[in-house]
Amino acid sequence: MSLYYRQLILKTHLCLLLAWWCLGNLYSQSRYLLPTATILSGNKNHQIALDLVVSEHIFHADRGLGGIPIDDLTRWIHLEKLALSDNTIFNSEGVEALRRAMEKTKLTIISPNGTSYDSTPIVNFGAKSVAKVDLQLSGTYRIGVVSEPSITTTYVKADGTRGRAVGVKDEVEIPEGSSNIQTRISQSRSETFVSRNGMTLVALAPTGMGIELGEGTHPNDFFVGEKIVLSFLYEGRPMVDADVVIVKDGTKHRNQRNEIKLMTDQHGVVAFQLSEAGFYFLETRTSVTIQEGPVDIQTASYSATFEVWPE
Amino acid sequence: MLKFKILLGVVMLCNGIALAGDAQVVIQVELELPALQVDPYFKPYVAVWLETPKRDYVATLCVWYNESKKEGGGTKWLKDILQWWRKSGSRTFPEIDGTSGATKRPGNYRILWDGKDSRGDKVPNGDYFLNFEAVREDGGREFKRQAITLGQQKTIELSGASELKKISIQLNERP
Repeated sequence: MSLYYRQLILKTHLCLLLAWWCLGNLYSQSRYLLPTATILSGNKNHQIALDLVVSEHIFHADRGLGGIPIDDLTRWIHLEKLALSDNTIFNSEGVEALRRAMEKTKLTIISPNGTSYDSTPIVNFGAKSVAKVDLQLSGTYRIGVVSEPSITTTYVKADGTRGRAVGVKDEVEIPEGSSNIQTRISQSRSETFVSRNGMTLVALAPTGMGIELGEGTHPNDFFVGEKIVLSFLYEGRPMVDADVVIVKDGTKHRNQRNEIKLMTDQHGVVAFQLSEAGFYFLETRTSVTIQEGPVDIQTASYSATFEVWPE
Repeated sequence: MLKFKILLGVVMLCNGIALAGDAQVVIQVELELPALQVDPYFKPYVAVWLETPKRDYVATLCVWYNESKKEGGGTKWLKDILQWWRKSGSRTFPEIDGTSGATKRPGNYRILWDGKDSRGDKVPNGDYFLNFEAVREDGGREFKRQAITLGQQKTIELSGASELKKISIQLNERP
């Protein structure tokens, strides 16, 4: 058991509930970020709001993705007004709870100049979470929720029910007689792109972590009827034969999801055209079986939101 | 006479460069903005620009937007000239001064182009696309493109469907 894995497990512990919930809904729930604008012009500084959501429907909010619960914030404001001496929110425990909520889900913003920061607060309104992003530089911003790799072990107990624990299988307590014991390391990224006063490439440079976009059509330059080319990288290398699913918004109000299903070629590339303008959701994932070491499966998921413009 | 003055004003505003000295007019566009019976009516943002057949940006002939707003507030909607913005505006912003002008009321306008890009370099003769785009607040948007050959004498007539009306392109011979 390497130190690396031990550190991961520690980090994972904080995300336990979220990870549990997300994995349990792997195929029916999408995790998306929806910005109020993807292209901005003008001399004044801009700001956008961003919905962070886990939902079955694109883009119809159902559950907020992380953030400080609005009820906690309301309580904070209320208590400040009363200035009570025995309030709980101002004590270290209350502050710690808010800090934990902030730490749990972070919005990673890569600026047009390549600098990255993740201090933007997210507020959870129940059905959706919302963050405000200030844009002062010219060029393309890359905005995403990037989860740290988390390690979980799943098993089927002797009575047939499923179990799950955080950590590798040698280190967690597994009931006697369990079978199908698997340890997986999972990582995810959900992102979107916003260009202010021009499109640039610096923020799009791959970081090498998880699934990312490689070279292709600029994500803020999608137009109806034009060929769009995207390439996908996993840990910096082309994702070959990966399934990519694209869905136009408004699934709640149509009978079919009308998913566009693509597969990456030997260079990790897909090419497609879209016939309608609007917001689109894109999703892909990878799963690799590992022969050696304590981890059996390494998985990563990726989702992105794009805006497509009329000709 | 009034109409002539308006036209002249437009030409001055829209293309001061082309009128300077004895510069040759390489493209002359007559553009009609339709009178629309809608309330409220806002004057459209309009752009006319040139692209290569591969859709690479070459030069803007004119861009009309609300310049009068305080602190460049009118630039907020330049992005709504979708095709022009992706090709040119975002790249050259805010250095569009040479070709920019105020929004115009319905009527006929003449746009003159001296065959040079924003750096003052001559755009070579050959095949291009001339693009027209108009977008109106609380209204519609229209985008038209026409294949042209720079340097050859030709007149091309186009008609818009909604936000643009009659467009006449006069291409002049150029060595």
